[in-house]
Amino acid sequence: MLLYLSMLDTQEEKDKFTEIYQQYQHFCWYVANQLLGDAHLAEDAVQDAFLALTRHLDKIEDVESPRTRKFLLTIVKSKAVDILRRQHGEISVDELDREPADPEADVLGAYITKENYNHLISCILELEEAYRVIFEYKYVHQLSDKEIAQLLDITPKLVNVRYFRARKKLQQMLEKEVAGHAGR
Amino acid sequence: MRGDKSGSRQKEEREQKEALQEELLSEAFNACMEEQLSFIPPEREIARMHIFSEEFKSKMEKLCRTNGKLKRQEMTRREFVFGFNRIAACILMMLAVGGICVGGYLISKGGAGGSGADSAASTEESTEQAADMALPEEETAAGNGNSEATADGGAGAEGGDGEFMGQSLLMAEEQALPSESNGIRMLISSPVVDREAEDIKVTFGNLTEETVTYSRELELQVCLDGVWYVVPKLSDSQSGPQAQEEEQEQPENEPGNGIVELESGMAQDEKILLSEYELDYEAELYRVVSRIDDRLFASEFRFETLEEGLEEALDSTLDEMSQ
Repeated sequence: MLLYLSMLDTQEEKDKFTEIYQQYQHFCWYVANQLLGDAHLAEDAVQDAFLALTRHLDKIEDVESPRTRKFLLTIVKSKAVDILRRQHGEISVDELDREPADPEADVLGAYITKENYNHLISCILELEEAYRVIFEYKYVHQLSDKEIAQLLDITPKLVNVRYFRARKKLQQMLEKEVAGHAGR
Repeated sequence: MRGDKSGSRQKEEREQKEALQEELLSEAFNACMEEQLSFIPPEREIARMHIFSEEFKSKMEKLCRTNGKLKRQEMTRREFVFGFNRIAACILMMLAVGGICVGGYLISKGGAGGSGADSAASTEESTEQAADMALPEEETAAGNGNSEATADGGAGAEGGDGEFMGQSLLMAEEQALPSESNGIRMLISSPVVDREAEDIKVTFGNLTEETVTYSRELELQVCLDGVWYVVPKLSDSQSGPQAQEEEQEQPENEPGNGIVELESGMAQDEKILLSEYELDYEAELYRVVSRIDDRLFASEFRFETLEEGLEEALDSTLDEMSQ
């Protein structure tokens, strides 16, 4: 009985995966192509994204829901960012240090207020995709560091380092934006 | 008392504030994603813009057919049988050791009194029986195709050659190697590697002020009884198609002969394909070796233990159940 159930599960997963692929293959390619500006590399990003998805099919409940669309958007963006990094050898050297940023210097929380919501939106829209995807995995898809690490093929510690770096970047942008608005 | 109350109130307020910040961040990122999605044309329209290459289609078809899991499931099943045999062998070994200890204790206790000797003898007999029983189990575990068969003894520290997974090994030319020296680094993405991993990412970092060169020819070495040996690659016919494809890809910044230039302040990822090697997941330690500017560097790793793997599987099962 257990064996039967496990086989059924696998078949269900296979069908689900195929359905997701049929539904979102072009969407994923479009997103990747926008970031990479290369149709062939965009195909590579789509492939990487779907390969990563095979390990996280449980995160998808309804194939056609907007949540699924958003999840795929983040995955394919992060895979395209990975390709860009590899292409330009752009793993920043300080990333190798793997030390999280100084938590004392992290005052992003002070800027996240209802009053600053519009500033926050405009900063996010300008934030580089490499930073945005980490926030999206955490705050939109509510994934743990371990789950993000599996999707990005890096260690949870490095996820933490990237997250703190993304926070720092957003904090700098918000500081500027809020100060600029106050000066007007 | 009052201090405690105000402390807990402060903590509560801080938690509320953090929850509100998280909510705002979540709301803001959701809104930005929706805006981003609104600029993406419908699927049919994009389908008209781009036709996927045949290579992509065949790869994706394969991925859909297997759901990317076929290989993983086969491995898990094999590992399960192997793990079960190992656990059974361990239990019998523990019983045997326990028997020896009890026997020894009874002998030492009953050295003066005559009756203790008989019981000690009988215990020793039972111990031998237990050991005899343990032997076939161990043989089963070893003969299960998977691993440890020769890792234990074949490669001695005294010899230049060793044996590992039925292959003869050569001792590494240098035993002690750094992973970092004078601003040059070689790192492995994770010191503990999943048994299902198909490759290992190795990052080369150049923190010096000059361009360095490194070799893409990565060497895998295994530590047996404290001595490092070179693990030979399987022949091309045995390695998977993915390995062959990767071999064909050559990055543009290679001057030739697999030598890559790494500019100052830059880092570069390389991969070592595990399918190219016969591996013993139980081996104590592995390392990846490469030559950077005529100096050898190494970065060490090991495979996760079965217990760690089971723990992870249990965690994910519990997560699934809770969802």
